[in-house]
Amino acid sequence: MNIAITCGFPKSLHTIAILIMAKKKGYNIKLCLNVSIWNHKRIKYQLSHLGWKNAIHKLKRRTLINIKNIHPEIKYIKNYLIENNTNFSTVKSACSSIKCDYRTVLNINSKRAINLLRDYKIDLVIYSGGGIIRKQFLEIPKIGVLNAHGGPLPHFRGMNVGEWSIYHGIKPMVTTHFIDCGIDTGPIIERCKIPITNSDKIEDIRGKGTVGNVKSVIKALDIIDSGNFHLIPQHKEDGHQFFRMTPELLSITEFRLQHWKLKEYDEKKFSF
Amino acid sequence: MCVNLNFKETVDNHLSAAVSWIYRSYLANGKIGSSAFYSRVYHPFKGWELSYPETTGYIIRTLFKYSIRNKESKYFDLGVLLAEWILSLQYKDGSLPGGFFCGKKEDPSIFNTAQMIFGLISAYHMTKKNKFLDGASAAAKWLADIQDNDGQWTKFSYKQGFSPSYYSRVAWPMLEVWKETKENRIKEKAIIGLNLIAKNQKKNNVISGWGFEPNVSAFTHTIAYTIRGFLESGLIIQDKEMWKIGFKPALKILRMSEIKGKLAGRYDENWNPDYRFICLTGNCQIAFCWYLIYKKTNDVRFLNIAIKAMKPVIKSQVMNTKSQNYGAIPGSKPIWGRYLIFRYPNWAVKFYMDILMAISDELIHLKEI
Repeated sequence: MNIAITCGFPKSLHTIAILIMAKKKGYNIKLCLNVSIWNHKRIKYQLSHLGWKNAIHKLKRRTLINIKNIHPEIKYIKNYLIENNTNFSTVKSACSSIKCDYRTVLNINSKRAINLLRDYKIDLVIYSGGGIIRKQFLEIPKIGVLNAHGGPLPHFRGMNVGEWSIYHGIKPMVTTHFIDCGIDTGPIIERCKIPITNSDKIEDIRGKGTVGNVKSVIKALDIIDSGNFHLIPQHKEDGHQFFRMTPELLSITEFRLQHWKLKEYDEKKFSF
Repeated sequence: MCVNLNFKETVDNHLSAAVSWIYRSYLANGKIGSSAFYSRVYHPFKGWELSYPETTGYIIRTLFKYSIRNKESKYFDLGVLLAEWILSLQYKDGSLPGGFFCGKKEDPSIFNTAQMIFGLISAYHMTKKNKFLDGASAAAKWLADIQDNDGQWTKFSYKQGFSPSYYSRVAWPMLEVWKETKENRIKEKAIIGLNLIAKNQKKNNVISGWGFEPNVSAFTHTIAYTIRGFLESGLIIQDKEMWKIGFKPALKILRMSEIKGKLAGRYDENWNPDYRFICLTGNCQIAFCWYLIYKKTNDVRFLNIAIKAMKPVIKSQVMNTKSQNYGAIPGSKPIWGRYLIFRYPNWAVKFYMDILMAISDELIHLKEI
């Protein structure tokens, strides 16, 4: 199975962790498609959604190696990498250690990206950031494009879904699924719980979610590799697409995380 | 400056500035109505425009809400005074004047009459004085009488002969009157009007003709007028289909705003946006439509986007206490944008206060659950 991985920014610890853990399991990741952060559309999107101050902070976080005041949620994935004896600070260096070709593209749906998938005869793509994938890209890998979604599907689609599920009184979880043309509407492979405690803050949930995401991807690879799996189809009307949560609702969500008794997600019983 | 609406003190600070601006707009023309807008470009010396009966009418409701919420009786009394003034403007046939008030009354206006009903009805609710209900009822009867046979309102309209889709906000106050008086003719006429406008809804959920003129891009201001007219009417007569007419474009605008990160100042009938400016009044109004949907459906995505839509408005409010314009909201952001260029309208402050109070109270409620 020839595998490629996408990468949203050059210092993505999430991508590094998947690369290393997949290699340890013996999977052959041949290609890493790094989507340039210097794409004007991406910059424009970040500016309009985050504002100048936050967008610049995010950019610094994603480009500078030794930035002080690292975001607290990062510590979980850092610790996970340390536990697994991995000390790479860039995706490029991780790629070279496992002999995976690292290529930068301006846009994930560009001709260059699609040609690279063809040239490397990619069977499966692991999505690890880089923007919304279009149909042309999705049609190339024989098996599909694997995504670990940070919330319970099919009900919670889109962004900040860990937070949105907590807001609705549901424990957060990661759902692995194949990407289709909709937003998080592709067939589900498996759902994995994220361990939480009453003292957790939202940043802890995000941090644990990132680690859970990596573990879920590896687990999904095992399932796919075994060839013995049953995909759960989704229906568009089964869920809501969520967007970035405002700080106002985030603080209410954090209160609920710490004071509410959150329920396990049950696809059949849950309704908004 | 990023304002967090979870902090009641912060919200109250902004609300207090806004209501003080309304009060000064009342003082500006010798305690007769609320001045339509403040602008040093239009009025270099005085700053204040003439009083505007239409918007004074619907500001009354906001003043009552604020006075009760913040326990400030001064604004309750002001609400009653303004309602008395609206009554004094009423023609014998029940109609109310359009335009600004310059000492003599302008000709009647469909839309303006309807908006002043809001003030009269809320004054009746607050004081239980029948004269306010009688005034509202007479105005609603006039609206029913003047309606064309097919359900349009082409006489006494803003653009002669054009009955725009935002007249759903004419039908809504008529239904508010029906709720009190149970005069079925008022209800029937309102529903005829709404059903006719509903036919303007295109497959893309745009309600054609919701701008000030036919076949031009509509400001979010009139888009929100149209949507809210359907939402509120649907709630009053408990008609899900009527509600959905307003719900569909509201959902479409939610998705577009979330993806783009902001609301456009106006949209054409193919949803092509004009992002060169934000219509701040429209932001507040659309946010209120989203808030209504949230309250009805409990779908928190609508509350989330309503909060987002308010951020640029809060940032644009004049908070310099030394300014005569303290508490004002510009028509557009930037102020040279296409909606009410270089002006600070009183209705922007009204819609701003309505949604700010609603969101703040809801966030407090959510924290207490």
